Amino acid sequence: MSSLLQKVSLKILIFMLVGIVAVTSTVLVQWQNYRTALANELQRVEQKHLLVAQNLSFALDRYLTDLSSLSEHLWEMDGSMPAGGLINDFNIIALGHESSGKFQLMSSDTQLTKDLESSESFRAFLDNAGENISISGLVNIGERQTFALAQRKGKVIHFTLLPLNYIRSIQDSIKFGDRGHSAIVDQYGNVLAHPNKTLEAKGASLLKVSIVQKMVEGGSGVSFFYSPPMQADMIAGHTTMIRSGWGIMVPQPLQEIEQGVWDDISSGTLVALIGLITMLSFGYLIATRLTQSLVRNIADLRLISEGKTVELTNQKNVSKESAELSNTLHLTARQVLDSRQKMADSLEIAQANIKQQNEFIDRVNHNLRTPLNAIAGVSELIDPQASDEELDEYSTIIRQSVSDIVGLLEERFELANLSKQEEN
Amino acid sequence: MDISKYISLVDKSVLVVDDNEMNLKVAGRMLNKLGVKSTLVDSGQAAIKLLESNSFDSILLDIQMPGLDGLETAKHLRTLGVSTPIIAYTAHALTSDIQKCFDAGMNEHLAKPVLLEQLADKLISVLSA
Repeated sequence: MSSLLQKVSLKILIFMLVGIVAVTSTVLVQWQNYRTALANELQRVEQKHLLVAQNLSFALDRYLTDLSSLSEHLWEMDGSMPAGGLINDFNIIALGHESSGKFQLMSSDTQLTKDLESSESFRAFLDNAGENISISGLVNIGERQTFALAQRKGKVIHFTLLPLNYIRSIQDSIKFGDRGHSAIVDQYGNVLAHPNKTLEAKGASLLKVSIVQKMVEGGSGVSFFYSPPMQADMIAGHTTMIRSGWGIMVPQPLQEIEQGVWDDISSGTLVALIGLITMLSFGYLIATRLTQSLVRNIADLRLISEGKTVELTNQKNVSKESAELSNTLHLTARQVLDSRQKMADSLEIAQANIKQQNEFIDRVNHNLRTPLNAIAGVSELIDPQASDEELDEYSTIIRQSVSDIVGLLEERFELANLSKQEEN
Repeated sequence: MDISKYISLVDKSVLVVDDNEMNLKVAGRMLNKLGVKSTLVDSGQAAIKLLESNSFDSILLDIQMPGLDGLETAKHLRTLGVSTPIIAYTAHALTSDIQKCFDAGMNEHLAKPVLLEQLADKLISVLSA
């Protein structure tokens, strides 16, 4: 590991460090997103769908409460009040009472009376009516789909017949995502309002669908179920209305939610990738900036170690410390080079001095030996038989040679004095 | 000193080359004392000129001289084919100096100051070789 690190430049190491930090954090964050996104989204959707279902339920409950109050009021007046006004506002189809199989409408309508008489579902509803106001499920009157409110008073049963328009408009107002919607069933599991208009027109029973069974049983919650009309696995918030026992659900295909989550994760990943690339680019820039002056200093040091002169370059875009390091390095290098030059100069001078001294000694040696040679020769030549002429010559030689030696010594002495004065 | 030891030197002829007059005279006297016939010249050029028409048994050659020095003179003589034994007769006494003499084609070396006995021994040495 250490030998591997030694081969890698500092720049690469710093870049790798930044890269590891960036990649690790990005991957961890994305992994966490991936792990929890679907669960979080489902939880969010559950709450949202349930809330929508409950809000719808409140709205319809309010509608039914208002209808009940109005009906009670109208029933008490029983025919003494003219039609119109509130009756029109609520789109009431029929208002009246039944007694011993006879229908008495507030505003007589022969066809409607016939239809009422022949409607099995209306008959069944009236038979079950109690002393409190009860609300029907789906009631088919002739060609019309309706619902009704009824109250038994002794042998007389008062009733109000209404269209499903308002209920359907409320159901229709809930649309979200690609296929998110709402649906309303009556207390028996029959469709009151549904985005599938064929099912709606038939007033089909959805009891086979698990969530509808739950709604019929009452209570509210969130459920997963398979929807035959949608041919998809769905998630839905659902609740059951207190007054009527009708069920409201707000379903959405699971696949749609998963797709949304995947879209979120994908865009999140894209953002993370951009972030990662940005971090890596910055990492590279930082690594370059941190190491470039070091690299330059190393190159300069190499030049200095080879004995070359290095100019102090003005380093831009480096940190304060790097610039200081570089300056100090160049100062030191200059001092080293200076002292190296001084040493070389001193050595040269010393060598020249030694050479000069040697030459001087050589010369003195030579210049002393020459006259000494003559004197030595003469000392051996003098003998008792020597002629006057010879003796004259010898004495001349000796005198001359001694004079040479003395001259040489004086010359050297003066030179020595001169150099001493120079030194002082 | 017993001159009789050097009887073989009698009547030999030696050329002495030295720019110093006194040394030249002393050398001539010393050779005469040994019975050697001496010829004295004071420069390398003179020696070379003399050797064109004369021959000697040996040459005493000073090294440091103005004009042609001893080393150049010896080299020149050897290139001219003169094979007379040459004895360096010099005040240069260092080993490196002696080697230079041999490199220049000289046969022996005498360091000044030279005593008569040393001179005689060297002459015998080169003449008997």
